[in-house]
Amino acid sequence: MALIFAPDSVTFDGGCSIEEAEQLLAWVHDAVAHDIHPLFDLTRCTHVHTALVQVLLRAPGRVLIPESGPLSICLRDLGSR
Amino acid sequence: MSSVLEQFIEESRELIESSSDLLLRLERHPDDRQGLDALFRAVHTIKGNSGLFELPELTSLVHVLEDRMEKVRAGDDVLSRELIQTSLEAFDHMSCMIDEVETSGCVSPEAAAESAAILASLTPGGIRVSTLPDGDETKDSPPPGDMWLVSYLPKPDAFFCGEDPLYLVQSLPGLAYVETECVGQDTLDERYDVFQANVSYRALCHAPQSVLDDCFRYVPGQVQMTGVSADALSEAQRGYLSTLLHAQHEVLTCTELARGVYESVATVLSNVAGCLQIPLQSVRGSRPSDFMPLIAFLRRAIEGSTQPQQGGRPAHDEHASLADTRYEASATRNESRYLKIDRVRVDRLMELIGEMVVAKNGLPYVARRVEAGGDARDVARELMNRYASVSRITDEMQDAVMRMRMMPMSSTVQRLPRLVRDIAHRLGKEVELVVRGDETEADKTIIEGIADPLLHIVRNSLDHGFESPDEREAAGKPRAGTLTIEACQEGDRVVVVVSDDGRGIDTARVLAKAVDKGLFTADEAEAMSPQEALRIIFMPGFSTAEQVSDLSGRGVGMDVVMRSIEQLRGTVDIDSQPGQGTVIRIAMPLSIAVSHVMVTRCSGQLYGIPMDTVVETVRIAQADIQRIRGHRAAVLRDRIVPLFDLSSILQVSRPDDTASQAAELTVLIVRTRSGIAGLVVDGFDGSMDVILKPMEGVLASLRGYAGTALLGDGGVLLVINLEELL
Repeated sequence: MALIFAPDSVTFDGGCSIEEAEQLLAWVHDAVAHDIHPLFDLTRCTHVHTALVQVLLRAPGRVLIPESGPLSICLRDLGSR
Repeated sequence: MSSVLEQFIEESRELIESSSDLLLRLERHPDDRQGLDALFRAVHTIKGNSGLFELPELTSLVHVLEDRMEKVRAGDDVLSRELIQTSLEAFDHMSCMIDEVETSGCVSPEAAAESAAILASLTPGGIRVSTLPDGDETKDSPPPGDMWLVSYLPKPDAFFCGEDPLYLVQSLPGLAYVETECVGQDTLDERYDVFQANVSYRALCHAPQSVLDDCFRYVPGQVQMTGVSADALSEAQRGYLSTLLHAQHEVLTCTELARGVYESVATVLSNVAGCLQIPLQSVRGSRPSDFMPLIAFLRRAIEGSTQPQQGGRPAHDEHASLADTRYEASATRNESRYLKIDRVRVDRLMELIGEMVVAKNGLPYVARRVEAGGDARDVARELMNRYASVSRITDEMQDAVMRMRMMPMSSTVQRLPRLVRDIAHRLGKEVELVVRGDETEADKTIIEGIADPLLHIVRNSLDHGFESPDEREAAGKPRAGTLTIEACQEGDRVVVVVSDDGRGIDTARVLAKAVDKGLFTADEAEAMSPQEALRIIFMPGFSTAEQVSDLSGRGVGMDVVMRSIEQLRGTVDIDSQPGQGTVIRIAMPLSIAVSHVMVTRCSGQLYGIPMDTVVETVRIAQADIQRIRGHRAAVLRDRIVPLFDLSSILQVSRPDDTASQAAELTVLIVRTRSGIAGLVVDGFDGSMDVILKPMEGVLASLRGYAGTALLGDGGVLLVINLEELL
């Protein structure tokens, strides 16, 4: 399991595949329903599938992205919103 | 690891090695058509084999090499010195990659990057193949001009085709900036489908179009590439923009950043991009690293070129020492797990096994005769007959197995031409290597064990032995020095002689240095013969090199050479004539598995003494023994021989002290590193061949013993290591 779900945050650890997209979506739905402002921590993430990023793009909350590297460049939009 | 891969690794190593040799040969004889063909075949085979595995780095490297060789063969290209050098580097690197594949199953990213660098230098016309970006400054930048704005809109069903658009964008070479935009559905309501791609990317990257085309080859029609250039701007405008970008860079490198700085930088960058016809919409960030790649990209686009390129290929020196370490790696690796054996030798062993079975079947027959109450003497004779034939067969079997372990010297020596060439080049010396007798065979352990000492001696000779070409000319010698390595078999020993025609060893300097280092007093040094003085270089803690060079002065000196050869029960001799050169002679046993020992009795216990240290056995009358400062010594053939009591050295109590009180002492004269010595023992039990087993477990730390051997009656024979005892 690369996604670690906590009550108000989700940690993306290592390589995160499309298999986790539905669960992430469900968690986001849940968070929205409970009016939680979530934190998505991608600092330890090495790869994240587009399907997950799409959800994050549309979800409320803060996103932490990796320090440097191509992934950091690609997720800049998420990290600085 | 699969057996196919194992075989590939083993075979490729051999091919790479022979290819390197061929290249060196071609360097000397460029017209060697056969050599060129053989080289081409070798490269071709490696390429073909590597295609079976997922090793694109290796395959592409060999592929380019093959292309170049093909051209040379067709006469379209010449085998220049540079081409030979790069090809040698390529082969070295290939063998590194193969090592990696063996240990970790894949090629590391660093090795892949280096592979790309070598590939670039091998590609005619110098087309640089860029390596994967690693976020910061691109390592091997393509020429300015290859700057692109890439718009990528994945198909909605992209995920079902196994595509991952983000991954694709992430792996674009020279990636500097990415904008992500939602397409279609904006909110995450109940109808949202996570398995539908609904995002688009806009990326700025710096790479040749062909490389980008290659990246997007599986998503045709979804990508639009627009070239980015500042050609439409006037010189002055470019100047302003450049200053502006420089200022942004400066601002971001400040340690204290005010809150509004990021917004301001973002606005400036967005506007600058606008001037370059790059419609960026969401330039923003929350830390300097969010902007840095974009600033670098824009500056490159405007200024046409960037700061002097960093990274890239390492400096020559680094490369050379790299080659050296590689040599070492390959030398240590050479202790291979595989043994190549001539079929005839295996067949011979098979025959012997057959004979052994026959001999074995004879024994129940003897047993039946005993049961039938045969005459004891007859039965004994019969048994001895059987014993004789079993003994003969085991002797032959032992010999056959030993032969299987025999390897020619060439397996160790064949790496030296390359090493000599590289080191000589680096030191600005001209050295010709002559190898003779490399077909001489010896046991595998010996051949492998001699590799390191030999390498060290050769290095030392190149570093300290040979003069520079000018010095040589001034001394009336040919500019190119000659390093000769000669191997031959002398009796049951294999002898390797390394000789150079360099400046020789300056014994006066050696002595001065030894006194300086406190190894000897000035008086002792004064009294030394030149031979003894030469042997000082084998002493631990002695190195004549004024300057520790990266070649031989690596903390390992000639004492290590000495020690490793002695471990193999070999000897090293040195001779040197000032101005004429140095000769180092290594003699080692052909095999160390079977040792010939002299069995001696001492305090009721048997001890084995390696036969190669034994000089003679003598009886010395008490009257002839003299006491020098409490030590016993005797004059034997006009030489003073110090006498040692084996029982007191071994600290075993003597049941009766008769032996040392007897009128005559039984003395075994032995040769050790420190000279001749006499061992007083109780008696001798002849000599025998034993298979020496090293001390194991708690006994391993016991000094003074070379190991143990099993006696015919089941007893254990302790074999003494005299060097450690005396």
